[in-house]
Amino acid sequence: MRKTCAILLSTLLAALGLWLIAIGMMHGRFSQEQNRSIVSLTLMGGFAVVLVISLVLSRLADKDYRVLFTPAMVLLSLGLLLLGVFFAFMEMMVSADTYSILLLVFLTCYGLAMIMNGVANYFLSQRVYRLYFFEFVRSLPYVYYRYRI
Amino acid sequence: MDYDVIVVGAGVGGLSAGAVLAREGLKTLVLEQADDVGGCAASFENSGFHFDVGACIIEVLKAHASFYERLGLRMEDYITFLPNDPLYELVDILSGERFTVPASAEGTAEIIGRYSKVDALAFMRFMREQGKLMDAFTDAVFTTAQCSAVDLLKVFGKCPQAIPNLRYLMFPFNKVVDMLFVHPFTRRLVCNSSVIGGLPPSRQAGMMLWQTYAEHTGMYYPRGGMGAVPRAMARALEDVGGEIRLASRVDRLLLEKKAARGVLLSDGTAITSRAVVSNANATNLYFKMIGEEYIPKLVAKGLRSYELSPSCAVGHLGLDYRPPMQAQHIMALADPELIDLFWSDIFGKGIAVPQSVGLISCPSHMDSSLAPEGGAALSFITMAPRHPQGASWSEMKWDYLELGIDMLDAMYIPGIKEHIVFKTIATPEDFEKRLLIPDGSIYSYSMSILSQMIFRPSNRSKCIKDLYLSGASTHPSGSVPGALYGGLLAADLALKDLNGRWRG
Repeated sequence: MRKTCAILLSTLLAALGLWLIAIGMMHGRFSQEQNRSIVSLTLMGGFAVVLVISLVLSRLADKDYRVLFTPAMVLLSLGLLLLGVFFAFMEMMVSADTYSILLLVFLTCYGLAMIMNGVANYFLSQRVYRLYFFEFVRSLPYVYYRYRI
Repeated sequence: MDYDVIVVGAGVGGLSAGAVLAREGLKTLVLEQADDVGGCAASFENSGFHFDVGACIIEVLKAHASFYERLGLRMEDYITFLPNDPLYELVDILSGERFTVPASAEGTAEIIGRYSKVDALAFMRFMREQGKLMDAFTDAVFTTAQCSAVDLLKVFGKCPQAIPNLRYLMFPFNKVVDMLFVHPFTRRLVCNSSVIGGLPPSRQAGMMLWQTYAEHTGMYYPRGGMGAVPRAMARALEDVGGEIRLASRVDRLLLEKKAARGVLLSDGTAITSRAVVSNANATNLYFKMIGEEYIPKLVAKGLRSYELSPSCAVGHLGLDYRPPMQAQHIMALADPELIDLFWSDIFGKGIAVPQSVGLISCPSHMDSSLAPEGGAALSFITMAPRHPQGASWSEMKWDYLELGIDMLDAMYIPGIKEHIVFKTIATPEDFEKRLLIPDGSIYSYSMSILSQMIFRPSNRSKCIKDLYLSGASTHPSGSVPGALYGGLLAADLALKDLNGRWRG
């Protein structure tokens, strides 16, 4: 994947992540019924945007990175879809206070995950970091055993 | 007990450990399975030509100086190191262009300056700042035994200035190179440091760029060949009261209540001791000399998890002339991307190609006594998979040697084919059989970041009491200075434990 594409995708993921955190932080405001549509719109829209862009970009990604990139991005976008469905149901099922707390917790966590995903995508899309990282990850499960020798 | 300490293996690590222990008044015996000391740093003679088995460069001279200093001896009385200047001749594998790299940093900067003035300045800045920092960090690593996480912190305690510069440790080699230099020539020039460390640039830690700095602080070759180094160490060991027995292969370690209490030789002789220092490969030590049944399962799992560093095939040629070489060493100059590609698509797939000639060493260029009058001894080192595709080494070694010679003739030293009077080759299989190192990997375990320091087998065994480890498979790692410092660290740990117990 070209560095410009990687930067674009990472920026998109980071921006979306920040927007989710912002919505989560403003939980009191979105517990008002008239503002709840923004939550569903963001989550469903985010799902569609992330899915389409990542499917397009996965064709540009290097073969070894595509194996990781495509499933990760599909899972990430599906997570947004699930959150959208979840909050659509919660809207009808829980009180305004509970809804606001759920928003705060879920969206802040998912927003952070999206930002981290953006950062990871920026580094891993570059071969120079990817091979080193893969090497590191391959050895990671064994460090405790090695430490005990 | 027959001895206070038995050292298994008279490689550089075993000899340094044995000598320090003997100097401190312990009754020390060093056992070596081969007929000569040195292991990978030994030399051999055939038809009047003297060749190095593996190691063919001496760097970090202070390691040797500190060894003799610990023994209260003068290094000059035992060995002479001849300075390499120029350091090496580089041959661009694509264009065939040749460069001679001088020993002085200023001289190297001048060569870089022909391509990029910015990089020439960056190189000098590297030598003054980053290289110096890497050197201080490496010094701390070399002189701190790694037995627990606290020891890892001690390294940073000794070199706190490394903490804000962790990017050199955490980032891959080629990224660090990109951070410092811009011109492709400079990138290619410094990338050899990665290969010398046994990993391609994309998998090597950026810290290995230290090698470039270290080379410019001095590269040497011992008078009498590399074998002169272990032979001098052996002499020093005997002078301080230690004992060496050659052709004595250790089959088993004698254990008593999970403590090392001596060794059993292959001829059935048992020799007892209060402690054992092993310079043997850690995998062989734990699985063969001790036995898997005596070590915890997680230790066995850890040992199996290591990836080995690359194995090599070394061709040795006796020549009836002195080849036109500008330096003792000729090295291939290649883009980091090309090295990565070779590693993943050729070497990594078990394809044995002599095109991987990485280093050519002509010992007699430095010391003419290493070859008959008017002749030269020359060795070339290629990266070679232990289990090549299609055929075994015993079937293909001579064809491989011929192809390697063709390669030398075509690319590095035209006309050399007409002057060969003696030739032989050591394959990874030979290294495995003769030096008892798994897969013939002379650096032992990979030098990747999670196989280093506390993640390498500890200098003090954590599962067998009174057992200490030195050599390439333990901290600080493979290479002559690494093994030498490893021996000193193991000896210090043994001394601390044994003296403490006796006082108690």
